[in-house]
Amino acid sequence: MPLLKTLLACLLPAGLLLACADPSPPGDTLKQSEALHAEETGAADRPAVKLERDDVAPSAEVQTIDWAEAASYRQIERSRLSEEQLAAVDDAPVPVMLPDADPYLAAAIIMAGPHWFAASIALEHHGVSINGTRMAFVVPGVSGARKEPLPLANDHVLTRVSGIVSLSFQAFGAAYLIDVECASPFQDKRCTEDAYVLGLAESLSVVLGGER
Amino acid sequence: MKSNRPTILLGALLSVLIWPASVAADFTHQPPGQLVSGSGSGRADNTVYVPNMRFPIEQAPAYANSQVYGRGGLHGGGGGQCDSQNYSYPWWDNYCETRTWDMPMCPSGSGHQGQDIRPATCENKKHWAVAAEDGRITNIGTYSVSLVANNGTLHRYLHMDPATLAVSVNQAVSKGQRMGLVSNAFGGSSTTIHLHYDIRQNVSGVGATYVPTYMSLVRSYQDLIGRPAEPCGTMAAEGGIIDDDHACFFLLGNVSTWRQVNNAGHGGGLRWTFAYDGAQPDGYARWELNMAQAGKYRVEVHMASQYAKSKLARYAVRSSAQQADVRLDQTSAEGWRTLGEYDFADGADQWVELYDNTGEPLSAKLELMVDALRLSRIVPPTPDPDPEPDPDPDPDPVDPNPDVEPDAGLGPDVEVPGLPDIDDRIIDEPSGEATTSESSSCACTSVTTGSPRLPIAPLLFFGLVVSAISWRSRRRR
Repeated sequence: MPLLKTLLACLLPAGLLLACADPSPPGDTLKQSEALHAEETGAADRPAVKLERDDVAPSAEVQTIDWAEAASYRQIERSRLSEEQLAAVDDAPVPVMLPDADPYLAAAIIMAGPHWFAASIALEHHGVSINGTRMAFVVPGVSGARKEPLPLANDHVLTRVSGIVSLSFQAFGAAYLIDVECASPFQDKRCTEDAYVLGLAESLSVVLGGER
Repeated sequence: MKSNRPTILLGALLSVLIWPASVAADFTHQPPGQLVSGSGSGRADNTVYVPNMRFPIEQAPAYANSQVYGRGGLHGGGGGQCDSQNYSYPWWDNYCETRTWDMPMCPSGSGHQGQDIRPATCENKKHWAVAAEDGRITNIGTYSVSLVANNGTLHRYLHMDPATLAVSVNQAVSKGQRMGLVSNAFGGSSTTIHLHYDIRQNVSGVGATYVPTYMSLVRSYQDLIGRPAEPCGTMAAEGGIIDDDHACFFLLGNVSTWRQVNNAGHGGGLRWTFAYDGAQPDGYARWELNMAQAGKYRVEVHMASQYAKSKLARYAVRSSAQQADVRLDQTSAEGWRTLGEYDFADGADQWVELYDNTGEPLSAKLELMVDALRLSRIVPPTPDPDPEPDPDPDPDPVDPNPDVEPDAGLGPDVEVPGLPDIDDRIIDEPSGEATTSESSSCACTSVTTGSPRLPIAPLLFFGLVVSAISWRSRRRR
């Protein structure tokens, strides 16, 4: 017991000292990188941004699509798609990207919205969905590690939700997502391992038609 | 035995009367980012990423909480999934709950991507999940359904019963439309009966990512139960003070950089962070203003010199749909410092904000502080145009329009005594209340959106009287 008391007597003040110190919150690291970025780009010289919003809600901005860059990327011949698929491609406000493999193209249901396209591909024992959007939401105080969009899988975030694999990346001014969902999410290697979704990302090719 | 019957009947009656009030309408929720203890670090984010969405389960009550860290879950500490604790308020955020997968918007860089929601009862395939927004069904997997709204927001629903799905791929859906029954479906295996709901948006600077769902769900649930968000408080006609511990004060953006000081500032507390020179604010603070009456007010912020080191503190004042940007040298004086005079409309959608991107370099380590905000009426409140006649008029009336001409410039600041804290001026809240509970380890704020209380006290009193009478009659026998 005396030993315990001695230990407590020594450790308690040290612990209090540590607890009362002013550690840098993790957010400061982000600020540091922001500051470096501003220094590199000269952003600090620009006037401060004006925030305009009605609520604590993000503001939406339509991104400009670099169709020329999309046209220079690997292409899928339009003749490989059905008329129905091509109609959706032509409506899409972002470059449609699909896996360059006939089984995928044949099974793809392609859809387009005012600012997005989506493809749903139901395959044996699993499914693949692809989304692309040109709408960006600006949230003050939110920034990620990536500052410049890089093409395809060279710069991606890979994550899983309940066994569903998701890979996101940015290209041509749009943001893309690939989801892979397996009938047996914890047994099927297409969902338990990264190789399948990474391979899909690498195989994505552009179907042109929606330029505007 | 016979003499106990009235008491038992009364007890049953009370149970029936009280249950709907306590379960269906007395909605409470933990703040965003506050996770179940031991389940990781949440994201304290008040942003409503999808304003005006429809709550994704058709009927209330519903219970947002953790499947993994709730009763019956892997780390839930025993019990079964149908434990009443899982089917009770308050709600708990479980976005960013401990997981190993990358999540750019979580403090740790990894975590749970959405929110788990239990329906009203622990019954499989009974409660409908509905479309959160108008949009199109873009994918249906073994246990997921994806809905994309016109603006590209992707809502995803997991664990609906595949056999009862009422939608198909490429189908246009309307907000509130039934999609499927909440179940435990999980790709050939099973999970607890719940809806995993997540939202993905293309967040500028991050890319397509899972955004916090919690406050969008809170707002949509308040709409569902007929209790729209109550204002955090109302600024009295003569003005008032909003301190940094008030419900109308918010830290937003990257809140993790703000430090709290408890022995300085107005009311004994303040917060500070380092000023920096980013193009966008990293963290910022907001005082929300819901004005009782339109009028001209002087706006002041409170300074404590020990923590006021920024010479370029950047404020914005939004009043009457106008926004003014103001720079303040926080170092120049202690106490109240004016940001100017502004015409405010009555009602909400008005605020004062302080941003940390002052333009001063982070390397200078300049403390930027935030504390209390004070509004002082410049033009006196409008007198009642049709006053009730005073039956006993005061022979020596006080001047109804005293000449109040506060300092309008950036000169020396003076204390203006007699202004009330806004805490004492919350009005128009007939049924809502804010409660604060504190424990030895943390201070937690619960927001209550309540319904009018049942007259429980008279009923209980009546029950006691009946019990006493029956007890006395038994003794006489």
